[in-house]
Amino acid sequence: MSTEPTPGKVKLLNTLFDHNPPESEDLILSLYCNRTTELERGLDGLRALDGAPKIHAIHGLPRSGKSHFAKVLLLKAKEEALPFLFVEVNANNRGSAKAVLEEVFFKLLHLIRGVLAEQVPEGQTAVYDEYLAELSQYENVVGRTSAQFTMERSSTIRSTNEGRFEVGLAPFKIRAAGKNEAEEGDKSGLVQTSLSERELTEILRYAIDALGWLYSSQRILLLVDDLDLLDRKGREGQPQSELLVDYLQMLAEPPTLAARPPCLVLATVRNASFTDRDKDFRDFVGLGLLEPENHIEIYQRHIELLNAGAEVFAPDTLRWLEERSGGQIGMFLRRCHEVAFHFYKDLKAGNLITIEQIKRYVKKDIRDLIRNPELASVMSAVIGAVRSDQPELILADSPGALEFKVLTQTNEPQKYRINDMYLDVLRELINRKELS
Amino acid sequence: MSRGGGMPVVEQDLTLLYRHKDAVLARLDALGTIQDPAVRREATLRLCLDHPGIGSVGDLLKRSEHERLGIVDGLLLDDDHNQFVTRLLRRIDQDPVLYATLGQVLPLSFPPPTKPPETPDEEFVWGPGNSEIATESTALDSLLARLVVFLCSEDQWFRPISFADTVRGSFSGSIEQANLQLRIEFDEHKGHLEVVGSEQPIPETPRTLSKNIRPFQNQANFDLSDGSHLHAISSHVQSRSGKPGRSTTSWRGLLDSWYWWKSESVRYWVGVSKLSSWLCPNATWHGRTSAGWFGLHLPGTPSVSLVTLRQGDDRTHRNAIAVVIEGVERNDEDRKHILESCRELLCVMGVQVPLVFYGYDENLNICAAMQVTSKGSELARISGAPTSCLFVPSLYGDWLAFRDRVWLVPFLRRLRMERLKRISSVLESLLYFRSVLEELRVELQISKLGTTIRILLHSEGSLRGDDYLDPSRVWLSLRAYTSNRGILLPEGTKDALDLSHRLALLGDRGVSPRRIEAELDVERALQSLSTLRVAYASLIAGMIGYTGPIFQGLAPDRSSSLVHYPLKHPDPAEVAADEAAAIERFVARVDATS
Repeated sequence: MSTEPTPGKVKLLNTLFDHNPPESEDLILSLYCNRTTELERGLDGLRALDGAPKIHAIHGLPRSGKSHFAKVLLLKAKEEALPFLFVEVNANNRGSAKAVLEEVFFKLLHLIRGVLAEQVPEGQTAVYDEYLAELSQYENVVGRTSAQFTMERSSTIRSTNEGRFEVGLAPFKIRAAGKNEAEEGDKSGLVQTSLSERELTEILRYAIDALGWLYSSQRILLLVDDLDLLDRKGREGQPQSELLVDYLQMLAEPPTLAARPPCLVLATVRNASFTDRDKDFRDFVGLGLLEPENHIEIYQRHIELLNAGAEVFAPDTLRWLEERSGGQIGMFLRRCHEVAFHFYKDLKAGNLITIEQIKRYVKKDIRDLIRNPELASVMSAVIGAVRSDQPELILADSPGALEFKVLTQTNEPQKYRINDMYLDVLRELINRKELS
Repeated sequence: MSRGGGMPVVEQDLTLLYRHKDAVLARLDALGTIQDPAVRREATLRLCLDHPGIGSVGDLLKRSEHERLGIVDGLLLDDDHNQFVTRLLRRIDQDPVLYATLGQVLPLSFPPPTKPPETPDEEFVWGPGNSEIATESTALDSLLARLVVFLCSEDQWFRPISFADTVRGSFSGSIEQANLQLRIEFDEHKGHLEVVGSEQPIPETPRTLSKNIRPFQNQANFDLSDGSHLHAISSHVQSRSGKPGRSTTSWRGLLDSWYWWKSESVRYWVGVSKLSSWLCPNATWHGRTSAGWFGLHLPGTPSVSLVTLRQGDDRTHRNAIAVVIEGVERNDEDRKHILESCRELLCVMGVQVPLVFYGYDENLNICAAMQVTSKGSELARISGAPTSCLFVPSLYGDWLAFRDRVWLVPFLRRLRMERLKRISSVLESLLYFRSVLEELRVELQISKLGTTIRILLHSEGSLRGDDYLDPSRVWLSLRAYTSNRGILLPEGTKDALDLSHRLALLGDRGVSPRRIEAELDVERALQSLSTLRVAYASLIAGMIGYTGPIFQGLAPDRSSSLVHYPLKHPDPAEVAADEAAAIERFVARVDATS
């Protein structure tokens, strides 16, 4: 059975069922589904800021669509021309808080440099130049780990009235270290090779001041996506994510150097992180899991927009997949993507993929995993558990690539749950004696 | 309160359970109405597959109430959702049967409630401590009862049966001869059956491919003068005498794997095997205690009974055990299958398989007989363990210490269930385990016992590829396997397993892999052997679901056993089932009129 593509529509298979939020603004909006109440709540929050000096959290369960929601929220805010300058960074797997702060610095600097001459307040070009010059001096050291420089902290905050504008004093004066200074640097402690997070945060506050001066009617809205996924390796302690929360908190707090409105920090975080540090977060919008019919609707939108209206899965197959998504839209799309692209010929030809085909795919995947020497021992443990009709097991080591795919970690260390799609197929294989 | 990295799973699980709240509660209720344990287990598994979040409910229930409330509060659930979660937690927490049922499928999430620490003396009390010993004895089938009494009191079991002469037949694959008169001699102690031809033509053997290649198996079939029949899978001439060139002469032939029958209405097969003096008769209970008969009965199809025979007057057969198997099938293959089914049981008890089984009809006359093995070698002991205690404690003192519980019974009953499986890793490994009992040298026993464990892991799929070559991979596999199944290994298993590996590869030198002066430290070797035996027994126990004690060693006074419990978190329902089996009693009651 096959369905003909709608005439005149094109297929964009590269992005079909992509579980990451789309990049293009059109797709961000057109693939967004449901959650109108949450969106309205978010927009209301932006329309009338409550002034809470906290990180505003968009929180929800993993793979529940937080990032996509945040992108839609910002687009809608732009459409409404809400008074914000938008800065977006993705913290996911960046590894360190500093890496994220550095990216924020360059994005702010880019904003400042991008100011047109007519946007500079009349007669204040010198002030603009001063801000730009001060910030540019940091550019040589931000993001570098082998520069050699000395830095002198400004002793007081200088506010000068130059007409009706106040100019903040740059927090540090930076000077490249000469050879002699470098040699003596260890003794004096003045020569640095990189900025600390704290110093970088102060520089960011200075940049935010500059933008506040340039765009007096607007506030910086800094969106940090996947704030708590900064360092996935630090699953338990998450020290870098914790650090980042601390420094973003400083950006959100008044007063700024020149007493201008602070930055509005918006972040997407998983529920666990949100409740762990709820004193630092403002409950901006909470997202629940989507309903099964929403998943189907999102699938349909992918079909319409990216596959020229041609169905990929038979209805019962689609339900089967949805039921095994754990209620997570990200997981649902990921599974759709894996299966659809495994049967790429069928996908291109418009043949509907069936449950049996998916099981075939899973079987092949299982055999590949068993043959993979790095995963064989874990797979062996998985098979042993399935043989005992037990969907859970304890693993001494990390399951590696099997996590998310075959196994899901429970709330207990080392205890994993076998994903039902794989468990079903493994049981079939075992019952038919097809596993040695 | 920090919820840790895994808490999103709990939140997600509770959300998805809430989404299907009516279905979840209904299916939990339905579980309680299913009587058949296998069906209930499958239904539980399906529930856990359809609603994997149920595992998180168990994870919450494992915590203290204070912590549990803190977590649930932290999830910021709306009122209805919160009420559902509270109700769900309470529903499972307050229903021990439901909790145990879920624990069968999700033992990691629903472990049995932690017991208070036990003192060594209390180790003997397992399961419901206040259960009373069953005082009622179930009467055996009347025919079986009569047979037991007959065997025990009439000394029939060691009286050799006599075979009539043949009247026609074929020998060693020859063409049937109409007038083949052979005498049949039976050596009961060896299980041998010989045919003696006096002035009889030597049977022509089938054409051979060459002078040196002869057919491996030559069947024999005879009709006997009393109307009975004799069939042997293999037969060959052993000796001959007479002048060359004559067509008739005197000769003797040997029959292997023979089967004789007068009638195929066999009601019970009886085989008798010598017993080691270590087996205390009282430990296997059955029969008429006042007369001093003891035994053990395993109901089922076929039923298997073991009766200890004590013949004070006959030193040769002072201690022997009669294995009585219900005859339910007719053809050769099925007979073989029935007899095979008792091999593992006897292996567990350290009893050698009887050479010959006799078929009794309903009048307790022997109407058939068959040779099942030609190997009559006695089984060796594994040091530190009486032969009857290879797996479970079976000493006289144990009977008292366990308050009349005979743990051999639940162990054997569960082991018998393995026969129902098409492929059983347990039975496959037990076959190899028998070879351990045929070894006399300790180092070879250690080596083979280690191999037995590796074979078991390999059969189970835990040990893959060439992992068996690497002791660390073997240990990792064993650790993961036992951890996932809640099996508790004895201390020192890793070292003992490593030693077995080295001994297998290097022989004696494996003890201390130096080029010279490698000498086995006997004490260490015996300890390793004991540890491996307990580890293997624990693995088998875990795989068949046996919840009772494993024999660990002799108590200092050597009157009873030190024990090891193989399961960390046994299912209470299974514990109760084993308890019931351990105290179940059968009595061979013979009515005067029967």
